[in-house]
Amino acid sequence: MGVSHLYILVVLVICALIPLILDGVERKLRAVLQSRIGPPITQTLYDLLKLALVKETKITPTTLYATFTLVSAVATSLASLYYTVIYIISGDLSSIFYSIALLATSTTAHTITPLLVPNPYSIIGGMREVVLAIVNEAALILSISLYATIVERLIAGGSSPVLLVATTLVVVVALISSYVASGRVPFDIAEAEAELASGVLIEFSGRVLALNIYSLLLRRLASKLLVLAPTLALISGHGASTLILSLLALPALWTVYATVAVVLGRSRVDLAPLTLAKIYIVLITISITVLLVVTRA
Amino acid sequence: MPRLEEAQKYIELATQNRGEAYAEGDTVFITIPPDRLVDVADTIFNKYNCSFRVCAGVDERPLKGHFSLVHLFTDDRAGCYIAVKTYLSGDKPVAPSIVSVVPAADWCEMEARDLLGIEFTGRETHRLVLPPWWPYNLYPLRKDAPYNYRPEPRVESEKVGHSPEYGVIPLGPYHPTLHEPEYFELYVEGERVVDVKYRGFHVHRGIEKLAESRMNYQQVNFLAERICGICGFVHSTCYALAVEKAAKLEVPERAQFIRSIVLEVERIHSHLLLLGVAFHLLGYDAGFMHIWRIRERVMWLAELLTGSRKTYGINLVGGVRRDINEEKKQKALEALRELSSDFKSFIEVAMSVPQVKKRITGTGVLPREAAVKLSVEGPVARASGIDKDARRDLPYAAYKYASFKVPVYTEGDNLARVLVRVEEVFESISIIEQLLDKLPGGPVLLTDFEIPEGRVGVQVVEAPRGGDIHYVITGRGAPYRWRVRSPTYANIPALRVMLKDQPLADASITIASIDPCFSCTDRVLVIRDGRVEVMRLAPVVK
Repeated sequence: MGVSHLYILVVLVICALIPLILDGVERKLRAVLQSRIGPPITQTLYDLLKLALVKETKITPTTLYATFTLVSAVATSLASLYYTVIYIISGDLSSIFYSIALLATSTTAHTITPLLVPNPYSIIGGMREVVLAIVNEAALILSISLYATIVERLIAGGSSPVLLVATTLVVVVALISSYVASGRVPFDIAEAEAELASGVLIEFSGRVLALNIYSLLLRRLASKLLVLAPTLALISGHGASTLILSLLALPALWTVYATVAVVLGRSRVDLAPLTLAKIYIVLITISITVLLVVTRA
Repeated sequence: MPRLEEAQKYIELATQNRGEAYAEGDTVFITIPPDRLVDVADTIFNKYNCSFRVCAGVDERPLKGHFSLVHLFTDDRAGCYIAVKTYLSGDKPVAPSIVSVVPAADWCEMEARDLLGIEFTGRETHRLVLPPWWPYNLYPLRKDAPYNYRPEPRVESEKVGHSPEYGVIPLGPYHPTLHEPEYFELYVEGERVVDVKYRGFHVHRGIEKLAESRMNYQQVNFLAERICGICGFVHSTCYALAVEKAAKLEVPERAQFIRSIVLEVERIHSHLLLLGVAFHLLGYDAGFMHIWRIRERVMWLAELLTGSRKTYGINLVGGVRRDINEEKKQKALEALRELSSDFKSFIEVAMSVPQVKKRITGTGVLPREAAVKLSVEGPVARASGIDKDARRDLPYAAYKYASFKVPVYTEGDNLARVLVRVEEVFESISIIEQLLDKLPGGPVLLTDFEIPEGRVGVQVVEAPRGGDIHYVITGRGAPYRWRVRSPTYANIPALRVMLKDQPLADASITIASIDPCFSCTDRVLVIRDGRVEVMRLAPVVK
């Protein structure tokens, strides 16, 4: 058990560093698609190191609360990654439920941070994030839980065409919700909207800003790994090889998400949650109905 | 030249109102007593459906002992200008306000009050362009005010407006989405804008005073070009044409062709720049990057034709100082072909991005009635169903030799304003190709001419953002009076209509949709205010 924990620790360290490079890859890819040269792929790493080690951290009355929520977000994201790794290796279904719960906690901590800052732009942005999170988190939790449950059943030999239809629909919801959770265009409505450009991000500096960026990158990784974990478990079962496969597949999924973000524009705060809610309700209702039918049969 | 019967109509109007009038070139000059001003303005604007362009106060005391106020209209169907002049007392100039019948005259009246001390009756008055600390008895555009006098500024802080009912979102004066200092105060209920207040004029450059005080006719061309970093050539052309019209100069045709060609290059550059900004505001950064990549070719084209990527500096009174040879012509045509195909293929992709389409369709609507009332200009007017374009209606330079379509949409939303600009890019490419093809021979600059004193020239040039107007009274070696009004000055008041009852998230793209240029608009004087009683946020629409 000690060895396996060391193994998991090594994987966790890798997971903690991967998003810094993958974000650099995303920036490079975006630049190529936009006919630019773009920064080197290590730029995100440099940025965070500079923010954390060189730049001044301005302490405001709310810095303490923001730091607390951001540290909580980072810690819960790492914990979520830990349980996802456990699930991939062992196939323990409860681990993925823990992982989902921890990721939701991380999102909550990250979401409430702008609300703690006494800046009207930040609060408006935070409220937008809350609205989006209410719709998306429910779908993410439900879809990944269902997906993992179905996958375990499929691994156990319960395959049927109807079940595959349900699985496909659940995978679609899981992919969409993990994309939304990654805060990319068109769902970066909280902070990126032009009129709120003086929002929460200008309130942070130095290490706190680095923490905020790192927290977002870790959540991106955790949400992607949650979708990949059951998928790869379905293909190659559970075990260390699946974990390696997951880590190898991560850049591919990251690239797909990055490409989608390049070709789209930003949605609006009233349009995005409404559209997502409609899609989620339809797909999840059909999936659950199909699953109930399969279960009764 | 205006049609005779149209000119006669305005001459009769002047006679009926105890005034006098005469037509000269494409302009009808009317002089009426102040008490008839409102009725005459009402008839010209509301009965004859003319466009109101601007009003200009003039200190004529050194010449005739009085002030004058000139209201400038254009009859776009007849192709003529109407300059309605009223003489005011040299001691205490007071004029009746025409805002009740011509709402678009609001700002120019207050500007004349600030800068020349002309008081207006029949309306609420307030400081518009002068800062509160500016001495109350010093009017900078009066001839006895020295151009280099600088009162000691007093720094005053300013508070964001307060509303017990609604949230207040200040936007500016310095804000990442605003590329120049301007201030919008958005009153919101949830995510919906319920009211807007605007305050501009944060920048002081004193350009008009500078030109009237210490420059000669040719130097002013270069000053005019520096009014704006985007449509500077429009300003220098407009100024040169106004002076040439006043002095009745016959400018070589080749020079007029070159002016039109460069004006269209500038239009393409401006529209591509705006489209890129719009895509950026909509979160479609790929669109922003690609449009600006395409725009780079226009900068190259400008450099080829004028020697400069921007601020071309080729205009002079009497023509231009840079010619286009055969080699440049061929290279320009090749560049235009590439530009056209590149832009066509990309804009189709960009306009089909779902979020882009969704967010500009039906947002920031400016109904036609409001657009007419406010005399808005350019793509803003054309997107709201007003079919006007000075290149066609009040032809100048070499536009009469080109055939082009004026795109008009009736929806009045952000999409319509974008589509007008997209179509205009293709029209501009076509105009340049036609003019390059027909480029006549001959000189490009009139070398021997005189500019007599006391002549008046008024010119509208269709800038990328709309009609730019310059009014010039000639003086000894320099303009006696030079009044500039950029299109943004006319378009900003429409923003209140566009923003009201719209989602807050669309505020930035709606503001950008008029392609505001504050360096053009704010060229007069500073505002910084804390005293509510003297300097309110200007209510932009009555």
